[in-house]
Amino acid sequence: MRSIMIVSPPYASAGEDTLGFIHFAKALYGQDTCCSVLIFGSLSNGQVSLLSMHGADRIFHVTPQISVLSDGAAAKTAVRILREYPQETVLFPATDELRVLAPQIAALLGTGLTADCSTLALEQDLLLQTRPAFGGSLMASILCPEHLPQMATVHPGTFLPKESDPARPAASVLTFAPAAESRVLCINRTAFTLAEDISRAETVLCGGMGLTAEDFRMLEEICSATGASLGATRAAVNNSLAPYRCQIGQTGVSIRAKTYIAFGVSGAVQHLAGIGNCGTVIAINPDASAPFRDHCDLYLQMPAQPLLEALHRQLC
Amino acid sequence: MTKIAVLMKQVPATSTLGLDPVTGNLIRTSDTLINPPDERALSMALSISGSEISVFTMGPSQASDLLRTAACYPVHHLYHLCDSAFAGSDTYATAVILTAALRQFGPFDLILCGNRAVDGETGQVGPEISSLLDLPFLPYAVSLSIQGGTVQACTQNSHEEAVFTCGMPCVVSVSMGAPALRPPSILGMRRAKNAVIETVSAERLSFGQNGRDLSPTRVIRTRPMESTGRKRERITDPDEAILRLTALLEKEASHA
Repeated sequence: MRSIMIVSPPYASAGEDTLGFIHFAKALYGQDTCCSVLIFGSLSNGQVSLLSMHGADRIFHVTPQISVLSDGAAAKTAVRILREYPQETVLFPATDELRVLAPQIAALLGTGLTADCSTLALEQDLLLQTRPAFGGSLMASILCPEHLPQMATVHPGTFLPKESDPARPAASVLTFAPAAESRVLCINRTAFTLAEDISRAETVLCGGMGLTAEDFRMLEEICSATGASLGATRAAVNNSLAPYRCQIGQTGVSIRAKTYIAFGVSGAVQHLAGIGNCGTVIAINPDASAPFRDHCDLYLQMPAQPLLEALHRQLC
Repeated sequence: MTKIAVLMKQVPATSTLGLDPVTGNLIRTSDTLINPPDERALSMALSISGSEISVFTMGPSQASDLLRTAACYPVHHLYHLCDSAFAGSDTYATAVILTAALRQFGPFDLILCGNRAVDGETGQVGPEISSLLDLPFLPYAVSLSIQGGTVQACTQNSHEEAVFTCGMPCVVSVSMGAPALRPPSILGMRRAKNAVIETVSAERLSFGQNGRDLSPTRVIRTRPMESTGRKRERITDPDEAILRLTALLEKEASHA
């Protein structure tokens, strides 16, 4: 029997990504594949049955919880589990924590890892891992031909859950204690609110260097009035027009908003790399030849400032 | 005295470069810069008083330009890992080679690197090194302080701000949220001219393999990105634009 393991993000043991990855794994390797889920977060009975209904066959639950996943203990625990239960493939949603944990595990095993894949397929029965490279201008396809497990982190939101089957048998739950002492202490942790965490925002209004500090203040007010989140380009963040958590693109956050509106953003490829998973993309820029023109659904070719003022008047 | 290693990478300055269609490896252009988060890692190292800083880079001969720039600042050692045996390394092989160098020229109390390179964008080499050296890893640091043998780091990722403490030695990745490197001084630029860059060969590291063979992953093909497939509608009338945007945002607001 083939076996694949999904590592769940610690804050969402049975979240959309985990469930979607299970469905994908079964579709890729066949319904009779043994699909395990590795959970570092908390795990309720409800979550166990949710995971089971969506196709999980086995759950590895690490408890007591390891509070800082990057401190080495989580990687050693995962390796202990993988030695006992060898897997053909291990997949991780590419969240910030798991993008750090995955390479720690891969290095201990001496196996390969592909970061932030956008598609996975099988080629000659190997996992074909495809990811954007060089600011999204190229797609590279990668194999790990001689090592097991084959490991990849996959852009969150790539695989969405399909219908569940309440008749599926419950997954077996195996618990594991951490394989090492924690070496890192978390003294303080403040989660961003939904509006502050632009990676999860449904609507993002983004400002670029076409805006002044005053314009940014207006944009922020429009965001609070409409429930949107504020985004910014790297140049705008470097010029202190917005905090770093707002930065979208290659050196910032990748977003998957349903609606994304860019004010005074040229649309450099590094920025576009962060909005590939957005629904409707609207760009406002007076320049008839800004790169955004070819990479948006609606191009409002005009200065952003008067538009911003009009929106502010009407919405705030 | 805190012994700090800073790992830095030279990256292409533009995003117009490509991959070699035959080998699948990166075609480097002459136009390069220091990976921006790595520059911030150097800046963070410089902010720690009473430290001895060693800068490491791995890459072809032109990567010594990076070390020449780093030499404008008060750093103590510059190591250029340069050997044809290192070519074609994926992130794992790169981590193995850098780990060998960190062992050879260390031990270090603190290893700093950027949280990801803007060309490869994997962010894997730092965490891989932490595993190979069996050290804890603090990711996405924006500031750092040292007291006694303990590091305290403020970190910020896309969904939280946090403060972590950890005993040394440890590995810390530095994000673009950290302070930028100040421009070099005239004195620094003068000093850089005479700086000694140590070229480190595979033999020096007793590295008997080659990077390509050690790499578990293979790039088997590349293709240009398809068009983003967006509708590309264009409006130039401001009144129409305002109507469209207000309708859209009011709808969002009523959902929220």
